[in-house]
Order: sequence, then C-alpha cells, then structure tokens
Amino acid sequence: MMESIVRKRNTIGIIVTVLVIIIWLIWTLTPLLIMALSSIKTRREAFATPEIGDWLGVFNIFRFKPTTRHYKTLFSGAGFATYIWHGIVASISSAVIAITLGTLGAYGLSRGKIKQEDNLSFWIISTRMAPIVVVIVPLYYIFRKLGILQTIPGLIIAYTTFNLPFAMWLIKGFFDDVPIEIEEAAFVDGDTHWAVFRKVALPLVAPGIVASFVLCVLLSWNDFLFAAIIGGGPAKTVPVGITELQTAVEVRWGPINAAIIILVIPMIFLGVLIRKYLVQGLTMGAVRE
Amino acid sequence: MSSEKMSRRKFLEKTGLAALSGGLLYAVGGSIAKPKFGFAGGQKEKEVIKKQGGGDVWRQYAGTKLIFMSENTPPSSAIKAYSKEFYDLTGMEIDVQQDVLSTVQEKVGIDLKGGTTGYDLNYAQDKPMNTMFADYWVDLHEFINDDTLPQDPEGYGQDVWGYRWLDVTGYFYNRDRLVSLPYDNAVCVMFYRKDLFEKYSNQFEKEYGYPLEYTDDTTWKNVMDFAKFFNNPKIKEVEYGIGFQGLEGWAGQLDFQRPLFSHGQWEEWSFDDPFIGTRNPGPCHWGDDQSVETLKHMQDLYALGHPESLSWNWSGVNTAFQTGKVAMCPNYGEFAATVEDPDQSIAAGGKTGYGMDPKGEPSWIVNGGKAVNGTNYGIGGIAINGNLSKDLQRASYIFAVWATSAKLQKRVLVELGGTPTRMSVLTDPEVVKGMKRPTKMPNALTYPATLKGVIPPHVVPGPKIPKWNEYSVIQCIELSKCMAKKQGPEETAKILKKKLDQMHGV
Amino acid sequence: MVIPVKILGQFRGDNTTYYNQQSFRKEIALVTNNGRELSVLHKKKFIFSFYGWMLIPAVILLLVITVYPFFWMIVMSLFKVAVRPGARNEFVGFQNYVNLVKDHLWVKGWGIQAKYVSMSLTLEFILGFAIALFLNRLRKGANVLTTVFLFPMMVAPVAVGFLYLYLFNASFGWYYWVLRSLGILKKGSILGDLHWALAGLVIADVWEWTPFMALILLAGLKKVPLDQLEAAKCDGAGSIRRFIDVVLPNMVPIIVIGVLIRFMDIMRYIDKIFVMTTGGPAGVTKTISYYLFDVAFHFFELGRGAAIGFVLLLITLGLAIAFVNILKKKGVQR
Repeated sequence: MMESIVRKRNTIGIIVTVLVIIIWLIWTLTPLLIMALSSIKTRREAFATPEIGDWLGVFNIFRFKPTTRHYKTLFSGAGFATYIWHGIVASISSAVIAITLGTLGAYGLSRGKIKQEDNLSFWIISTRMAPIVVVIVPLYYIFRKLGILQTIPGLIIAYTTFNLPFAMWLIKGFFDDVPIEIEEAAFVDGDTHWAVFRKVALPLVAPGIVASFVLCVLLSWNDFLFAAIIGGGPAKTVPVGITELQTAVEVRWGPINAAIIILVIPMIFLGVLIRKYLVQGLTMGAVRE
Repeated sequence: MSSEKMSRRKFLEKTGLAALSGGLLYAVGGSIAKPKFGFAGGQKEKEVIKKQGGGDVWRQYAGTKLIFMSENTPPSSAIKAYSKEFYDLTGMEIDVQQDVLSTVQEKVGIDLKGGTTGYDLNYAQDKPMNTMFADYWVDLHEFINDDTLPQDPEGYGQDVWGYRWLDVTGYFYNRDRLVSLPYDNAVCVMFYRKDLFEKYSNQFEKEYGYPLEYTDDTTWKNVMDFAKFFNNPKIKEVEYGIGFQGLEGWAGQLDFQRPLFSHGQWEEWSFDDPFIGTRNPGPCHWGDDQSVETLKHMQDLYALGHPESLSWNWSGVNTAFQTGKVAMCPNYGEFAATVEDPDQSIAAGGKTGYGMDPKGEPSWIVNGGKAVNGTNYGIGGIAINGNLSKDLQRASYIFAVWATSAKLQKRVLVELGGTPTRMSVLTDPEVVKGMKRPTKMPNALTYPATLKGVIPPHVVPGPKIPKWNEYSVIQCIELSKCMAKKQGPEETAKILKKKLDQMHGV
Repeated sequence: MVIPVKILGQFRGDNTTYYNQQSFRKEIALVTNNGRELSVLHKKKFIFSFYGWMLIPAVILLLVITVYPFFWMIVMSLFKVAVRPGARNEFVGFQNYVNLVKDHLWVKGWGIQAKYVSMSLTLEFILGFAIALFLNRLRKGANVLTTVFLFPMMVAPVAVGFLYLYLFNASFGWYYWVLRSLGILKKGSILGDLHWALAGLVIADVWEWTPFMALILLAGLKKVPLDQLEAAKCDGAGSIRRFIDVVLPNMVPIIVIGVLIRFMDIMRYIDKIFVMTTGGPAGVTKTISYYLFDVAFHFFELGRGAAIGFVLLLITLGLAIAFVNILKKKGVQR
C-alpha cells in the first residue's frame, strides 16, 4: 500500500516522507485542535494544564464537560452574528471590485503596448508596500469628509486599497503566460477586441482569477487595522470583535477561543470548496517581473 | 543592469510627480495643518434640535444622538445596558462604543487632532489620554455653573469625589480648564493568598523570625522574604511568591513606580503640584543616589517574581493569581470581582486578602525622605470633544452628568461590579457593609485598603506631563532591561536621565 | 476555428511545451512580425486603444486611493504636528529625518526588524520547500493533505496572535508546558523572556505562512519541464545535481513571487506583535513597523511617524527591487 502512495520505490524514502508529513500535520493541526477543545470548556477547565513533566496528564485535555456557553455569549451579548455578516459583505464586495477592475486593468497592461510596462507593473504592486499605519491616517480624514467612516462602503473601499494592486499584479502574470498568438489568431478570424478578451483570454486564466479572488476575500476577511480604525462601531468585523474580548478587566479566553473557531471556519470552507482552482490557478501563473 | 534599476526609480518618481498637482498639496496641507478648535460642527450630519423652551432641563435636546467612545470596562458596559433609561429621561439616544484602550486612544486622537466630531464624548483616562488631549476638550466650568442645564445635586466640589480625583482627571497643567468628570477608578492594592499565609505561618516564623502576615506596615523587604519563602518548590499550592506587571506601557509604568515612590517619595521630576502636573518639568532626577539604591533592591525583588512578569499587564498577572501560579500580586481593585468568582479562580471563597501596597523599607532610603505605602492608580473621566457645536456640547454635558451621578454609580457597583468615584457611594452604608465578607460586591473588599492608600503621603498621581506616553515606553524598556539583569542600576539610571532629558529638550 | 482549438487543447493539458508553432506561424506570417511589438491587435495608439480603456478605470481608482496617502506621508514628514488646538503645524524641513538617526529606538527597531524578517522568511522558505518536495512525491491524497496544510493561512493574523498567546502563556499554555516538560525551557517564560519573545513571534509567523510558501513552491515544482529533468537524468546527474541545475533555475520566477509577497506583508503587518507582546519585553520585539505604530498612535507625533513610514517604504521598495534583479540574473528565461 505504501508503494502505491509514493512514487519512488525506496523504503527509506517512503518512511521519511510519511514521517515528515505526519509531523507537519501534527504541527499544523495541534493549535487549532487545542483552541477548538478550549472553546467548549469552562475557563477553569481550559486553564487546567498538568504539572510540569507530568506527561500522562496530557490526557487531562480530554477530561471536561462540554459547554456551549462561550458561543452563546458571542452571539447574544457581543453580536458576533452581525460582525460575521459585515465581514462577509465587505470582503466579498471588495474582492469583486478588485477582481473586476483588476482583470480588466491586468489585461490592458499585459496586452497593451506600453513603453514602461515593467515599471508600471512594479509601481502598481509597490502601492501595496506602504506601511498600513501611515496610510490609515490620511484615509481616515478623506473618509470622514466623504462621510463613509464606520460604514460598510468605507470598509469596502479601504480593503480595495490593498486588494486592487494585488489582484492586478497577480492576474497580469496569468495573462502574460497566455501566448498572444492565440488572441491574434482569433482577431484575424474576425473577432473584436472585446470578444477576443471574453472568449479566448478570459477562459484560459479563469482558474487564476478564482485563485486571486479567494486570496482577496481571505485578506479582507482577516484584516484588522483598517477595520479597527476606519471601520468599527456599526461596521465592526470579526477580527476587531476578537480584540474587543480583551477587556480592561480580563482577557475573556473562552469567547476568544470560540470566536477564533468562528473566524476560521468560513475560510476553511471556502478553501475546501475552491481547492481545485486554488492549486490549479497558482500552478498556472508563473513568470513575471 | 543598474540602468534598468535606475529607470524604475525614475519612473516611480516621474509618475508620482506628474500625478500631483499643486492643489493636491494644498488640500493635504489644508486639511491637516489646521486642526480646528471650536469649529461649529459643520461636518456633523446629525440634526441637533434646538433648545426647547420651558419645562424639563433634561429634555431640552431630545432627539439628539450622541456617541461615547469608551474603553471596554464594566462601567461602560453598564451604561450601554442602561441606555434605554437615559433615553426615557432625556429623549436622547446614546451610542456607547467600546474598544481596547489603545484603539480608543488612536480613534479619539485622530478625531480630536483633525478637528472632526466623530465622537461627542470620550473616555478620559488620566495619564495615557488626558495628558495629550486635555487641550482639545471642552472646559466644563461654564456648564457647571449654568442654570439652564441639569446639575448633580451633590455638586462638583473636590470633596464630592475621591481624594483630589477631580484634579487628577480634570485639571491639567493649570486650574483654568476643567476637562473631565471622574467616572471610574482603578486603585492598586496588594492581592494575597490569606489562606496560604495562615497555613504556613509557623514555618515562616521559624525561618524568618517574624509572623507571616500582611499589614499596612509590611515593607517591600518583607515582600521579598514572602516571595523567597513561597518560591520554595516544596510549597505546591503556588509556583512563585509574587507576580508583577511589567508590560511596556501603562502597566509597567505604574508597576515600577510603586517601589520607587515608596522609598523617600522619589519621583522622576519635581512638580509644584503633582495632582495638576506641568508641561515641561525640566531635568529628571534619575541618577541621584536614591534612584540607584532603589533600583538595586528592585532588581533583587523582580528576580524573585514570576519570570513572565515583564510581559504581563493587569489581566496577565490576574490570571496567574487566579490559577495559583503566584501567591501575591499588586493589582487594581476591579479585579477582585474576577478573583472572587469560583468559576474562574481557585483563589475565590475567602482565600484572598487585600492590603495596602507595601511600605518602603527604611534601610533602603538614602535621601532622607519618608517610607510610605506607594500607591498609584488610573482615574478615568468623561470628557467632551471641543470641536462640537455649542448645542452638542451642552447635550453631551447632560450625558456626562447622568453618567457620573451617585445613583448610577451605586447601581453599577451593586449590579455589575463597577468602580465608583463619588465619596457618597464609597461611604454609603450598604457599600460599607459590602467591604466585609460575606459580600455581594467583591470590588468593595478592596475599598478599606484603597481609601487609605489614595491620600498623602502614600499616593503618587503623576507624572502628568504631555509626553507621558513616550516617557512610559522609554522608562519601561530600560527598567525591564534592568530587572532582567541585562543592565546595571547605575547604567540604567544614567541612560534614563539622558533619554528623558533629551525627550524634553533640556 | 480549427487551429486555436487544437492549441488550446495542448495548452491546457500538457506540462511541457506550449504548442506547436510551425503550422500556426505560417497562417499569420503575413500579419505579425516579431510577435508582440507589431501585433495585429495593436492598431491604435495605446491610450485610445482597447487596452488603454481597459486599464484606465483600475489606474484611476488606484491613483485616487493610494496617491493621496503617499503624498500626505511625504508632506507630513516635513512638519511637526501641533500639540495644542489652534496652533499650526510647524514646518521643520528634514529635521524629522535627521532626528531619526539619533533615535535609539529607531536604530534598534531596524535591527529587530531585520532579525525577525530574515529568521521568518528563511524558515518559511526552507520548510516550505521541504514540504513542497514531499508533497510532490505523493501520488495519492496530495490534494487533501494540501488543503489541510493550508488551514493556518486561513486564520487571521490577529487570531494567530491570540492562538499563540494562549499556547505560550506561562499560566495555562500547552506549548509552554511541553517546552518546560522537555526541559528546553528552564524556569522561565516565553513571551516574557528577552531572548525567547522574538522566537515566539517567529514561531507563530512560521506556523501561519509556511503553507503559503509551500503552496507556491509546489506550483513551481509542478511546472519544471519534465524533459529537462529526463535529459539531466540521462546525462547521469544525481538527484542533488538535478535539483540545483534544473529544478531551481526553472523555479526562480515563482520563488520571486512567493518571497516578494511574504516580504511585503511581513514588513507591513503588526497584528501578531500587537496581540502577543506589544513590542516588549524591554523592547525586544519592537520592530520598526511596530515602532511606527507607537509613534503615530501612542505618542501622536504624526510628523515623526510619517518620516519613519517613508523611510520604511523606501527600504522595502529598495530591497524588493534588488531581490528581483538578483534573481532575474539566475533564472531561466522562457
């Protein structure tokens, strides 16, 4: 059975591969499992680590009475359902805007005949390198004048500041990989520019676009600083809600653990759903400067 | 290759400059360079209904919506819960927004300094926020004496509040402007495991020659002995004797200040009136004999404490105390509620005692000053955004009056575990009863120690200087290095003198 | 459309060459010259061409939302922000920049930033590559495993901060318990220790982002042309030789992307530091980006903060450009 899993028929190689995979699996999943378990324990149980060196005591982690009270706290008191909704709306909207404009722009950049194409491409991604802290203050004042502070549209625009350059940069690379000759052939055959784009180029980079979309949603959903300063109040998102659980009097670990689980699950769900496109999409993209 | 590199840079610059027009620069300069003070609320979209003639002074601004930007403390959660009552009383809606203190600082700062009116009322934490923002808040003097506004029956005199707490949170650098009304208090006391003190008292007395008890006269040297004693691995109930809160920032600043002040009432700067503070205090006292002497002993003290202390703030050390990792810790009164909660804490149910902060050890005092129980605190207030229109300021004042009233403070204390600032509440018979076990108000258990600690000669309210935030960062970093034995006391004192004087430009 | 369909089919499925150019070239030899420069698609001047119109909306939006902050930053760095209302901001020219050199925390911040970035990126790269190599050898289950390995990447940085704050805590943290029980950590603390605090941050960062590197590198591995590998094997090259001479050069472009993205983000994000250590203890985790946060939002000296931010941006850009250029030299041009 082992041999059919691994390509090379080399016993040591097989053992090493399986060992490495198992170790990495443990390393990856342990924190999440501990959090998940802690989120259904009372605080005292969650804090009950065994004595130093008491290895058998590890099984204490399973000795508890499950309770859903932390989840109840989140949804009744802290209004987490609203935060989740805000996060979903803002991240998906921003990703849609970024991908739409980004795809168009990337296509124009990739296919267009510009002298300074490399530099323009680099400028676009360099806008994403600015320190967040410094970008937030002027954005705050602009948004204030426009009256979109603490609103969902404000969040969407704030997220787009980093999603748009990222999407454009990634997708341009995907377009670069599609040989222009294919489009030329279609054009010669009588299609308009737009039809060439829609029927020939777009389908070829579709997996890459999906991958970029998922990444944009991920980055927006997980963002903290923008949501804290420019959002907040009626436009709070889950990451901000989690830091709120660190009150002046105590760090409410129970609800925090529960909140982290809530935060992670939609993204994992999304990842599983789009898994095929994620890997395929990133596999397609490659060369760019 | 290098020419390619240059062309990239050049292109970046060219693109940037090309895109910029003079107007953009002017726009930038204009919106930031002139924070408007007293700007008549043109940016506010909310409608403020003009004063309604006759009748109820409380309802004169009915229909207004106010926003209160606060830290997520129990009192502000309570006010959020009672906001319907406020609406019934005044016809005004109050939106209490809560955040972590540093986020509150950021948002309030951007709002005030930019001349905007995003938050009508701010939570005014005496040192981290008020030292920076005092000038941007409304002077409440004119409202206090205004008959057309509802006023608190007790008035706002000094003696109505805890000892000079009105000065601490309301007056900055002068007595001209009153910028906030005291709203909650967090006074430091010593939490200790009374049950363990009783259990091991014989053993301790045999080893150290005096009783194992915590009194008002317990000195920092006694605390070191206690810590050494409990660090003994044979004592299984706790891992370490004492925990501290050296986290960089406010927790650390207050924590290090206590032993420093206890010995000869040493402070970093001299103030004419430490309860008022001053804008530029001049050269600091770091490097004088007392400071170095105290640091030497503090090094030994912190070395005995729990090793994670340097990264703890009040909730970190509280968790350690709750889970039996430390036998003692200096912490703030409101944590008594969580310590006495059996669901979270193994130190609940009468096992914990609360005492004054430790006294200075006389043999460690070299400057001829007194040995005192160095106590410090954070007194939070409610302040009003100075960029608001006059009517909105008045409407906000109505909220401030309601939120700091004695009735509300008592309710919050009894129902949710608040931290009242009015003497009438602190000396209320029901509250006095609650100061002894069994009690329904765990926070009140700390009041006997609190009330003794907040008056001279024990209390150190400052340093109230405009650059408080930067000072606390610099000081915590150097003192942490010293406590971790990475830096000697003399060297630390020298570095601090240089940096703090550089900060003030002296 | 016979020819394009055949080409598309070959393009999608095949891993080696893209398509057969001969028959295709004959067809449009009349119209194209060198391929891109004089493509039949480029009839009009760029700005008015189809491509110009496609590009303009994105560029306009980008200009609006990024150029203003950029210039605010530059202008602000030349001022000292007023500390009292009614006072004007004071123009100080380059004073803010000059003062940075004397600012001990700023100098130290760069050292810590360098340590943090280099440790994290190196570990993420090496571990990511190893995982990618091992995943590449699997025939069955690679997809499922890859998805599971990607979980850490899906967790918000703030949440990862809380996660590791919980795990490293001396009062109740399981990782702390393991390290103490194994004897690696003696009587101490992780996040409170002057030496371990930065290591704790690096561990959290490595946990969160190694999967991302692994994914990118796995994609790169799959694109290495099999014919080149076969050729090298026939030439008698051992697996290590093959790795250095064939695999690595072909993967350079994708390595650039992966490292560049991580580098950009690790220089910008302070979420984990904010939650786990707030720059302490004793300032050992106060990277330059966190120091910027302190100056701007705790001391409220926006002028000084803008200066720090601008220098940070320049250095990030410079390093990125240098990195891309160096690797371009070593890569294989397709």
